[in-house]
Amino acid sequence: MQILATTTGPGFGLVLVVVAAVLLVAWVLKERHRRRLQAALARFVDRHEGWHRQAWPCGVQPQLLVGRFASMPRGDRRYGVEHAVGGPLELEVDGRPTTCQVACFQWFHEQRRRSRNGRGATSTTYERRRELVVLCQLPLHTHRSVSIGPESILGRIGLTRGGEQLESDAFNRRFRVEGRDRELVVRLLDAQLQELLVTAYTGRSIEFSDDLLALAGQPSHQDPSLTGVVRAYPAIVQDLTRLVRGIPHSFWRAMRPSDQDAMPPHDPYDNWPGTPDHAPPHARPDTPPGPLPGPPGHTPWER
Amino acid sequence: MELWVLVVLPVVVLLVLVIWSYNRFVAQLASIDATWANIEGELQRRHDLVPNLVATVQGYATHERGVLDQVTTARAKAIDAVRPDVPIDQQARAEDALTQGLTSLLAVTESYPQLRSDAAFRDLQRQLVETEDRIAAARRLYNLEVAAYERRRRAVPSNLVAGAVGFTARRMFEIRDPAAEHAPHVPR
Repeated sequence: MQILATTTGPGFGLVLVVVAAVLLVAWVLKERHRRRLQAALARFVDRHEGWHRQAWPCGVQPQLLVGRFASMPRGDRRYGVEHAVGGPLELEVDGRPTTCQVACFQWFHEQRRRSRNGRGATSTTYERRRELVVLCQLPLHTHRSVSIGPESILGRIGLTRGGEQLESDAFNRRFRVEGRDRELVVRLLDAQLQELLVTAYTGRSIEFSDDLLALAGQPSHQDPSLTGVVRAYPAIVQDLTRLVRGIPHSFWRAMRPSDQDAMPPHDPYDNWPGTPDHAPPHARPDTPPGPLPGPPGHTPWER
Repeated sequence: MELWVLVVLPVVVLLVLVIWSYNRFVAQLASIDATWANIEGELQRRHDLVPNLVATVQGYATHERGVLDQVTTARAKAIDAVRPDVPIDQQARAEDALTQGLTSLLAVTESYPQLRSDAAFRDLQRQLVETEDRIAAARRLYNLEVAAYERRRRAVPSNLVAGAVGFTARRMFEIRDPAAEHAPHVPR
């Protein structure tokens, strides 16, 4: 009776009001942040001709991205794409300006965490982890995958070195390179690209999988005129441009389609990989030119 | 613990380590030989391309006898250098001479627009560049294998095994990278 009297007294009402006020303020702040983010995304999209909000980065469903790239893990419950924007971008492929489909987004996945309290009871919570990614659809198929990611702490001090070892010790200490085709790996990672990665891409991961190139990780600088995750978008687009420009010619030559299906009648190098208006031969027919279906900017998928 | 265990156990552990180290050396040498065979295969492919290239150029550039002879001679020397008794450095220099000859040959073709537009010539040039790309990649793989082997051969304690068994030094294969010189110019 005493308890009932206490909970129904004027103090309880005050607590309710405070809780409601806190919830309201939290909702207002969240909503304001969401609106700012939407505005920032719109501003960023406006800077690039032909760019738009995307549900599927480069027209690829998240189910086809998950697990294919180390930077896009499945997690233990949900995973998906947030704040995706993209469109055509002119990149220098094999020394030629080539228009590629590019998308910037945040990949999220939920990691299970189990904790035990003092009485021995376990509780499960899910922590949402996010990774900044820029995805590029290359104008050719590599047919093989190459992954360049940060080396582990033990690897950095030289105790465990996995993957392919290259000429530069500084590179080997910072990056772990995985790829079934060793020849392709050495063609890709020439001395200049090793140097570029060491100086500008340490701590980030670069992955090739068939016709997709994913660059993940935080860039070194951000655009203060934008908000939230979008602040990093201009820098990651810039980093992608620089990275693709740094890929050696011999790598592109190795990827060139065979004579039978792609050799043009006059110059074997004239029509490849393509002028800006030259659509890649493998462009997905189901990739619509405009914004893709689905909820804008957020496509969670459950296991 | 009994005394014999204290004596035998370290000996067994040491023996296992020696065997493991020896087997790794053997595996590394096998890998070096495999990558070297890969280089030789690609060099052979380049040698085979040269006569066709010379014949095609000869059809258009009849006055360039000097350059054509230089390439033919360099090819003959490069083929002659592909023998087990020829030191690797000598073979590398022979390949460099062939590269230089091919560079001169391709430079000469710049003066013959009809030749440049000949489909057979363009196809041969493309094949040459692709082969040279593969040579460059194979050479780097070989040198990486040699570098890893040499690192182990000189480092403690594996140098003790290498010294005792007599694993000898291997030389790297250093040649000019011709693919960049021989690739067709890409108009910007």
